[in-house]
Amino acid sequence: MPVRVHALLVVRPEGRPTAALHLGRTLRALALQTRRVDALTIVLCGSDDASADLAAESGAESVISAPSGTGYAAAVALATYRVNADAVWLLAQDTAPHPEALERLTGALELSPSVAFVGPKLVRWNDPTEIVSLGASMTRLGRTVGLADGELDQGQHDTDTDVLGSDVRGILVRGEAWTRLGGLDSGLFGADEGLDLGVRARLAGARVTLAPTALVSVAGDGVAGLPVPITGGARRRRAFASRAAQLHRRQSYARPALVPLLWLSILPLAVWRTVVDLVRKQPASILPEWGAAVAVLVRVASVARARTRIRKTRTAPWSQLAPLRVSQAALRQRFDDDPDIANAEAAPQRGELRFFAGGGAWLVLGALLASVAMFAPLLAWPVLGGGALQPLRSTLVQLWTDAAYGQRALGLDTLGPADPFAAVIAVLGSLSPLEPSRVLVVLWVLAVPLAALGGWYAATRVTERPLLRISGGIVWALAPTFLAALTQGRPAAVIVHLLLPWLFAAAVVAHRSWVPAGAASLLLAAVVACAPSLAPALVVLWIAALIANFALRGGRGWARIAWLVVPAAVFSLPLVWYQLRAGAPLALLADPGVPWAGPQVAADAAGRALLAAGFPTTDPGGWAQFLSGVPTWWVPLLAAPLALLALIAPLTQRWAAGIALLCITALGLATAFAAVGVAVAFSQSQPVVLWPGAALSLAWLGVTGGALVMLDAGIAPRLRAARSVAAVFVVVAVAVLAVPAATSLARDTALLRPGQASTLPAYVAAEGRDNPDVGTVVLTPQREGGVSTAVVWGGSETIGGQATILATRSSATPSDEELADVTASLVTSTSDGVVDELRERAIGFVVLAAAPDDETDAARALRLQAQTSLDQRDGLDSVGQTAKGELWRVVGAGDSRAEPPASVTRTSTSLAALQLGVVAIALLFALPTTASRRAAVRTPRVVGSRWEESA
Amino acid sequence: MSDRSALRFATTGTRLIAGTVVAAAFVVGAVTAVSVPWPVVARTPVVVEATPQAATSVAVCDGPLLAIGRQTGAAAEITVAAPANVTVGVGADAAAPREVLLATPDVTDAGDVPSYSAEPEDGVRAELAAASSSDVRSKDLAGFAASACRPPLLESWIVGGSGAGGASDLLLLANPSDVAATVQLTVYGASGATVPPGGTLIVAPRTQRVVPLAGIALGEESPVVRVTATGAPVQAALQTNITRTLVAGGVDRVGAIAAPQRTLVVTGLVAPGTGGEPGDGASDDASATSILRILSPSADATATVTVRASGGSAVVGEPLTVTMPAGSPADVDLGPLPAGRYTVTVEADQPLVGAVWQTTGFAEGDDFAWFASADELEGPTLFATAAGAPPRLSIVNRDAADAVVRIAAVDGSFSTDVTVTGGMTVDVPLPARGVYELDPGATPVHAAVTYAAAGALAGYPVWPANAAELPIRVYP
Repeated sequence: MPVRVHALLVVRPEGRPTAALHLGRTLRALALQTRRVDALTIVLCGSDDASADLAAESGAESVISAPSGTGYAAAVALATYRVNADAVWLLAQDTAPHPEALERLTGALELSPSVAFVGPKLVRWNDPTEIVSLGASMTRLGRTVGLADGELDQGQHDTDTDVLGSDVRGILVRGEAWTRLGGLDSGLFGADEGLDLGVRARLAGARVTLAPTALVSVAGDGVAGLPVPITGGARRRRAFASRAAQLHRRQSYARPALVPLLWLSILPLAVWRTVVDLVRKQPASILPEWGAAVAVLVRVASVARARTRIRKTRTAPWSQLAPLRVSQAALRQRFDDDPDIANAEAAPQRGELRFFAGGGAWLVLGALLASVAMFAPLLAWPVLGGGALQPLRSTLVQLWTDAAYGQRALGLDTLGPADPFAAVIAVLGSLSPLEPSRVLVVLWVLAVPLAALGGWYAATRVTERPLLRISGGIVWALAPTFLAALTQGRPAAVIVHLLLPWLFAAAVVAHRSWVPAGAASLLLAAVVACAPSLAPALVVLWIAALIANFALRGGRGWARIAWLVVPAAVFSLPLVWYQLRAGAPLALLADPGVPWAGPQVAADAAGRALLAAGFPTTDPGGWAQFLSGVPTWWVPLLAAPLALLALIAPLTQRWAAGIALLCITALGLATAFAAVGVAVAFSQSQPVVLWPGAALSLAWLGVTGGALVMLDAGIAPRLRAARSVAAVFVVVAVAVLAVPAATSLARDTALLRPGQASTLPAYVAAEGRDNPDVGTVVLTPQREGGVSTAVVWGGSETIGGQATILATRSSATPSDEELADVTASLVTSTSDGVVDELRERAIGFVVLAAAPDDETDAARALRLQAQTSLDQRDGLDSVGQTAKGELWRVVGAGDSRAEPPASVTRTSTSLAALQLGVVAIALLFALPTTASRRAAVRTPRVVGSRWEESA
Repeated sequence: MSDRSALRFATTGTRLIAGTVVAAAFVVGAVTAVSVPWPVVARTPVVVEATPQAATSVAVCDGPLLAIGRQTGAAAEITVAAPANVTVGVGADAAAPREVLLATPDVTDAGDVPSYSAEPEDGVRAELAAASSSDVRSKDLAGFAASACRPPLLESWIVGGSGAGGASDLLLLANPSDVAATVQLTVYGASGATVPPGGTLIVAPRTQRVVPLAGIALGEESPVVRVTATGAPVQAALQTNITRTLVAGGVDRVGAIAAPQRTLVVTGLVAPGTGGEPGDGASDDASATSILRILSPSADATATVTVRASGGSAVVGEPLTVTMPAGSPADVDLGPLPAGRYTVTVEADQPLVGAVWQTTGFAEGDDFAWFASADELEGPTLFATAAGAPPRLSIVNRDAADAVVRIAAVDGSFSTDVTVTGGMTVDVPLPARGVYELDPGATPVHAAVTYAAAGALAGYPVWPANAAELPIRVYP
């Protein structure tokens, strides 16, 4: 007796116009079957006129309407009561069986009575030679593995018929088994339904086989089975469904004792898999991952139902499934094949880096020797001083506390965000945990070789030629603005110059991969932290990159470019919020670190002309001092060869790179021009103008890059010698330019000084070394009269403890008023009670700063008055004269600073968590993997080579 | 083939033109950006004008006129030559000040050196003013001296006197407080600033020390002395007298100047009009009747000296331009002035201290006086006039607006409103010794009290009431 076959066809149009087309083909295919179905039930989920018409004309025994959100398992379950047949054929709108499909499926079913269901070979909708699915299995841990997904059909799988399960589409289920197993599991979110049915059938003692000759074309609409991942939405739905189904199955199949543990492990696993997704550079699957975790977490009941169903039908032991699972070894073999390796177009385009062979190593070694010669005295200094340099905190905890939101290390009770620069300092200080301050000495000695290395590496993005890369390294390491920052002692500007080439090298390829995008995002955050005045220029470049990406690449990889600014934004967020609330957005531009009004060009035409030539100081490159009395008008001409080459770059075949680098130069110069006119911070009573050197570093990057582009592409092959001559000429000119700065330490004209372990007297430094709650009032008489007063917490004023929120205040706060009153009372000899105020504030020391050599009469008068007054006051013990000034101890001072409110601690914790989280994500992105390395070698090292651009 | 080369020619041409345009645009843009003005963002630092809590008001008088070496055989002995008349007073309805007599270990027959103090009431500083005067007519010492009693200072500048041979000027240093003060004397002379041997001394609590100027500034014709106290503030003054070949040429008490300033106003000068021939500008011209002594302590300075007569705003003579090296005092002869009262204004590019020496003549019975620069008065100020020659108050208004100045005796016996036109000086005769309040109204003025009569000349500036506790500029 022939078996009666009842086909269940689920239609879910979801508003897609293709749904009716697919349904039409499916219905026609059913009509053309060599062995016709005996009954057809259509379940129409949601309303669609065209599909409804087709369904009505199909000759189905009934058409059931269901809500549009009904899943495949639920829809099939709705129709099950109509089934009165020997076999159920599960179909969807986009499963068009080939004419002999049903005949062969029923044949397979009839052949073996122990078979619960037979799966067909699913092939592409338009290409029957490519297998979509033929059998499915799972690993020991329940991960689904398609046995032949995506392979070309050459009959290679047609002999493997005994499988664990298969895709749910097109399977023919024995009616008796269908009833006994209770249909499909509706808790699977639409994935793995066939596999699950197979597992349950196997446990019930039946078998599952394939009918590889029965072909069913599938379009992948997602009604049954997983949707084809062609759109972002489909990819997310696919990721969500497969992960949710896997979690669901894992809980359904596990031993009862393990179920609670598995349930508890869902969230930790989601965290772990998030990290893995980041490392695998697949951030798009993080959201579905968490969606799946939450969905399974809350749907305990469906797990219970699934377990009950298995318990009721299970007759065979679980171990019987073992031979049908996929082993890890087999899995590894399948995934290790690089499918692209044979693809000629994707063959490696990137040569070796040639760091050693190309002379990069010699460059760095030479720069190291030159640097040691330049900074020889530094090797004996424990701490750097002079300029904007100060010691670092002596312990790691204090270093990192300075980088967190909360009480600042300066000011009576300053509460607010730390400068992101404090985090940079904390990272640096952590490199030398026992003696953080020494890091800066090492940084200074290594600065020139590091800059040479950075310049060389950035040059690899511009040229393949070893000579030009070396020239790039030298020109970058000898930039006048860099040497000025080194000899003046400006740590933030030095760090910016060291990081900029790496930022450039990573950011220009950020659109290609997540690895450089992650690295560039961290570098950008550090650069913006060190030089907030560069932020506007960098944001302009970022927007330009986004626009160019959409215009030239159709938005491929836009998320990677968008990510670039995320860490910088997250780190700046608290400060931006604080300053906007204070109504001082310009204060965000203030240079972080020690506010110091050092020598730099003025905001006039002469100053801007020097800036345009690359010099941030009035004395170009230190030549006026070097050759005192000799005119120095010719000094800027030494930078002219470089500028000329950069100007010619847009005329070469690599015109796009030339223009882009010229634009970077223009932005850098414009930023420098603007910076010299902006003074938002104060050092005591002195306004501090923004340091234009950081912007000049950006401009120097553009000029150097442009010159290299010109030398790389702008010289005809027969004039090869001219290239070398020009490169050597440029390098020699820049090297000559650097002579005064390089010898300044030897000639004792640098502003660098050997520093002390503390800016405060040793007595206070000893007390404050391990106790950041030691408060000291430092009184400094001002040259023009008046007195500056600063409250320092801990053993020293430190670079990391500086806060721009304090240095850029534009109006006095109540605590400023209080401090001013205390100060006025301290420096006049009369009133009582002021010492009590100091005690309440836990301020233990008063320091009257030592007189400078050229003290004015106004300052001297105030110093005398203050000294007399402090000496006469009860409650202050004179400790004596120290190198840092005269010191008094407050008798009976409180020993701990007032605790900040609990809300501040909470804000601090959540901000720290947010910032560390973003850093962690960026680091995971930046971590190279085998796959990412393999992808990288398929792209050229040089960005914007000739072939990409020439018209 | 030719199509392809034409295409290549076209693309290369386009590229070259576009590249040239970009490069040229960059150069033009850079040059323009260098030359056009850019916006400047400048802020002023946060500064709080903090007024210290009110302190006890203290005024220390100079004490009696002293004489040194009157007894042959005891050339260094200091004795009292004439007692002092003291006028003291406080603001209306205030408690009487407390008087303490300071010890004078350097004077053989101890005279009275009174120090007055008044406690603040309700956190408001008590107003206190005192002045003392002495008239002496002996063979070796003759003349009239009047001085205001001043609060002690940490740093005082004494402009006046001479350390030349034969001079017998005495530096008076009084410490009215309860702790000892260490005083350092710095002499600014022809060779700059020096700390002479014996220039550091300790002034015991509640004590006045007397130091002969010749001891520390021997040979200096025109010294300026800086008195720097640590430990406690001291009140410094100088008693100076001239003896011209056995003829006493006058006596005066020179008060301290608190701090160098860029603008000095010396008012109340009384020129006798009988001066000698027009001066040749030399500071040692023995016939000069008006000499300005100025010092720029810490930097080379250029000063412009202008003399105006009271009651008018016209400049008398040509304004003098004086350049002086740092640390060396300069004497400037103001030339023969017609009889009348004058105001001398010095404007310099560096802070200066200065005073004007003025004499009634060079005959027997004449007297001289040092007029120190007067500080600006911005609020009501108490001052005292001492007994002796009839006092006059000279009021200078350097502002453009007119000032309406009210002068009233604290006891209510006298009151007048004076209008001082902008840029003018007005002299107001005061009825007698007493304590007066000067209220400058809205316009700041400078003022000095002068005493002039036959053979009697003295004067001292009126100090602002809050001289000791000006708000302090604090940069928090």
